[in-house]
Amino acid sequence: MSKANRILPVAFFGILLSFLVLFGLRVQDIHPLETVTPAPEESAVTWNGLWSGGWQTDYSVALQEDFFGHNDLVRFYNQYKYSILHELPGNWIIGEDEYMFYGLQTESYVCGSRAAMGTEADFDAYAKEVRAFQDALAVRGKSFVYMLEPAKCIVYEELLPWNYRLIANQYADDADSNYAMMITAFQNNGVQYYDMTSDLLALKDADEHVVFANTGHHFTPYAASVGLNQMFTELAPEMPDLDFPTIEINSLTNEVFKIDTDIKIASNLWFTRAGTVPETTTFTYSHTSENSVYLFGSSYGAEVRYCLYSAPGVAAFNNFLFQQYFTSTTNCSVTDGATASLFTSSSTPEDMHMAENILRADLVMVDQQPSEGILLTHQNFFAYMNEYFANEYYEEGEDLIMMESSLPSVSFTSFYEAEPWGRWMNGTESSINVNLMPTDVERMNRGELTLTGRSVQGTLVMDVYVNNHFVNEVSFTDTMTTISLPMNGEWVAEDNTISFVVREGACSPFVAGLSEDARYLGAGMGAVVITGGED
Amino acid sequence: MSFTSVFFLIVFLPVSVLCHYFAKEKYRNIWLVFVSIAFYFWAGLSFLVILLASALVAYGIGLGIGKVKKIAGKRALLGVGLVFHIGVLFYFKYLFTAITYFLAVVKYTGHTMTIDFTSPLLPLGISFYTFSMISYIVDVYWEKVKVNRNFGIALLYFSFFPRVVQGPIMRYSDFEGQLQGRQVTEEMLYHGIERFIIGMAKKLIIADQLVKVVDYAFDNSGAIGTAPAWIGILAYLLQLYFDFSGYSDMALGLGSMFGFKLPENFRYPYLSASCAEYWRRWHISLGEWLRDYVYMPMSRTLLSKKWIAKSKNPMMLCDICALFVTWVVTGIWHGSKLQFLAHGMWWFAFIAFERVRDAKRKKRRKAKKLPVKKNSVIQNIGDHALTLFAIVFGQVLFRANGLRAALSYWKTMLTASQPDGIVWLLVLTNSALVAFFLGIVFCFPIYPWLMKRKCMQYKGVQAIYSVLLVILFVLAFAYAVSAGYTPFLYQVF
Repeated sequence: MSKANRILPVAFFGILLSFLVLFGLRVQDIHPLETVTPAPEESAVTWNGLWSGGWQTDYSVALQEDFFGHNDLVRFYNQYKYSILHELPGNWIIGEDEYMFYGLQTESYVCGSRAAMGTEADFDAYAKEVRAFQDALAVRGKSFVYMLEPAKCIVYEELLPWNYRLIANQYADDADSNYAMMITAFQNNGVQYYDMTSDLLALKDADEHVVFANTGHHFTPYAASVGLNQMFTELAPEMPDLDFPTIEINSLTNEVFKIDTDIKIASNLWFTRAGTVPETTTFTYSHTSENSVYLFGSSYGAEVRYCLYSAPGVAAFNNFLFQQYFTSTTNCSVTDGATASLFTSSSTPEDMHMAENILRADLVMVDQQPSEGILLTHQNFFAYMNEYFANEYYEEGEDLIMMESSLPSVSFTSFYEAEPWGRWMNGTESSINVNLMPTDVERMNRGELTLTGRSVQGTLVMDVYVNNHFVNEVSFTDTMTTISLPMNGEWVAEDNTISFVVREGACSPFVAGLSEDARYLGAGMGAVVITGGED
Repeated sequence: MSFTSVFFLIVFLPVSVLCHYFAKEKYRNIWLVFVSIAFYFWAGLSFLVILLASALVAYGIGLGIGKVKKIAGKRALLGVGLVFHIGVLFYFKYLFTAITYFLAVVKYTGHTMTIDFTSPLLPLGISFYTFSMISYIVDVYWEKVKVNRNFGIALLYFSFFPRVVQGPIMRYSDFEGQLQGRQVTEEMLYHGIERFIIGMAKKLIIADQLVKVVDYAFDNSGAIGTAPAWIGILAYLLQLYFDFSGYSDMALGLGSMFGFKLPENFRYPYLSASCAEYWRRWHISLGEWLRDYVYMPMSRTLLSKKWIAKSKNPMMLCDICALFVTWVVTGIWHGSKLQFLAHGMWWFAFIAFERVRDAKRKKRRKAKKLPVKKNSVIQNIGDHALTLFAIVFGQVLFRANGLRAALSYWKTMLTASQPDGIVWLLVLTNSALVAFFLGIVFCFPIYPWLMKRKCMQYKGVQAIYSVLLVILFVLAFAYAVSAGYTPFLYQVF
């Protein structure tokens, strides 16, 4: 055999043996890949696993991604696809001028009504939820705006790959597309929204490179600032109580080729025009508004956050708090500096103190880029907050005793768990905290406090206080009795404590020889109801 | 263990081939048995037990047939062997479907019945190794081969790993002749590696890149238009060919690395001028097996029947009947669903038609004293067109998600419509378009043409060719590692 023909077997087995030896020595790959889920671990050897082939499969799967050279082979594959086939790995597509787009979002946009996430009725129901949230904020003296941000494929439609462009030309403007249905639903339901699309398209006409980075998924902070400035200008007359700053560019750098958090997949190539993260645009503001702003949003919100809080002590608002999906919180204020608290993806709104953060703000913003996943997250957000608001304040006539202790409007101190008939006081002093809507306070001061209760045995005498004001003394017997107490003072506030102090009659049923219950019980409260007086 | 999996490529292949290459001749077959068992073990110990049990039965039946003197005894043992192997195949592959159809019939008659039976997992390559075992015991019965008294050799034949999963189906006589005294020359090693790399590239760079196009068309067959339907089936023709022939190339390449010359399984089938020729070029080993073990015995049996002898054209009738049975078996072999039986009947119809047509043409030419085998240009074009029609529409039956879906797909192909508009363009990625192009080009015998060029004799050109193959291997390996797992299509059989 000629030497020329020896190249192949030598190279072939040389390559394979190198991998085998390095695998055998468990040499780890040096350069990790970006945004890749960790390789699954090998499972323990079990008889069942061997019998069914499950262990063998697990081992093969684990090895598939965990051998020396794996990452460089992946990079080689990605580079080949990028350089020769003009394609990107994962869910990314590459269009003209090396512009990268997120595939799923782009597909959804170009397919128009064929990619609709729901029906007109679905979007109408969503808009109603948003409107309910907006109204609840208004009652609490807060303003709201729903920001719509265009996806990159909307701004740079002409740079999409040829097949996406052809489809977009035909379907993207469908009246039944997600975007069109959402706008219609918002308009029909009176939702306060602002659509940045026309602002960013105008910006692109002026300078096509500054709206989205070529290799970025997010709009640039510069583009965000242009959109925000326009939005603040439009909102100012409608929100006269708020003070809006004007965002000014301090320094503008070329952000065309950067790798932002969503396009790190481009780091899994050897050579792209996506470089390392460069210096970015910095901002100043005409003044720092005294207002506090809360933003619930998507990853685009990070750019919004960046252009509203340029550096410690340099901010557009006195306080700006950004919560991204249900995962992270970034709190920026003029005096404290930017602090970021990161939570796991299984965070609950309670863990994130979502409601408290919203209630501290003067202006609440929600940002939406067109994406099904984000819409679903936002649906959860509005559902949660609307339920919170529905339960934030006590509703007149409701029985406080049977309300769940987890609700924001009520909490119990020194009461046992609710039973079907009511709750026992734990000892001689117990209280109930109840929040009233500010507009209800005055009426409740002219209203009635109705108590239904009983003793363990005999007569129980108890003093009733509202916010440390003595209301009256009540007596209960061992059968349920209802007593109404007028509230004729200025005792009631937004945040109230109704206290019960037993002077005589508290005892243990066990000691009294009545049952096995050894607890020391005060009054057994069947109902506590506040009703308002005449206006 | 897939041939394109990392475990196979970096552990199993180099260890098995190099140990075999450097081992002394007397240990080579033992090593091969060991690695074949280890290969099959990787699918699961339960499957290995089934393979070993089947191999033991086939070996034992062979021994028995060799020992028994009387024909009746030999026939009885053959019958036991056939019942056993077909029974095992039936249990794993067809019983669940048979029960389903049975219950449907019972329900149709107004009765109710439940049978508690869940479909068992299909042992890897059972259709292929069962046919190998059947061919062994039948060849022993027919005295075409000597009885093998060495279980190790028998086991090696049944379980030889390059071909156990998807073939090619090899006759024992061909295999046995290569067992002893075989040499693994550098030439064989070279050509084996070359073939293996080409097979990898066919599977990973062409076939797998068409998956999304095919899946889009067939999974949405009720909602797609005419253009994507045609593109979908054309993509499927390429995907199936390059996936299966790619696997076959890898199997033949591996065989060559171990010093075996395995039979070719594909010979540019889409260039066929007739349906019969297509099946002589597509999955050749299966076609030959069915010819030798179903068609020929059936023909011989039918020829002796009175009702055949009394017919107007006994040879033609015998031929058609034997063809019918053969295609029923072919259809069922591919799967238990009705669509596979329909696929077999589809091909039966076309091949039977060709038989009749060719007989009439022969008769006409004889009468006119024209050359018997020479068709006119128009006839050739017509024959090619008919063959392509049969292939294109026949493969819809094969791939569709059921018989009804296949009929719906045909309707979409034949009536101009576009309910999905041009949204299907999304699946035409650059990878898919390149795969289409390469697929169409390599449907033609480019490789043999290239190898015959004089320039390939020069060492410089050979060196460049080798380097290109190495690059192709690295690229295919990168595809295998990066693109996720796509199983070989014929693995399900």
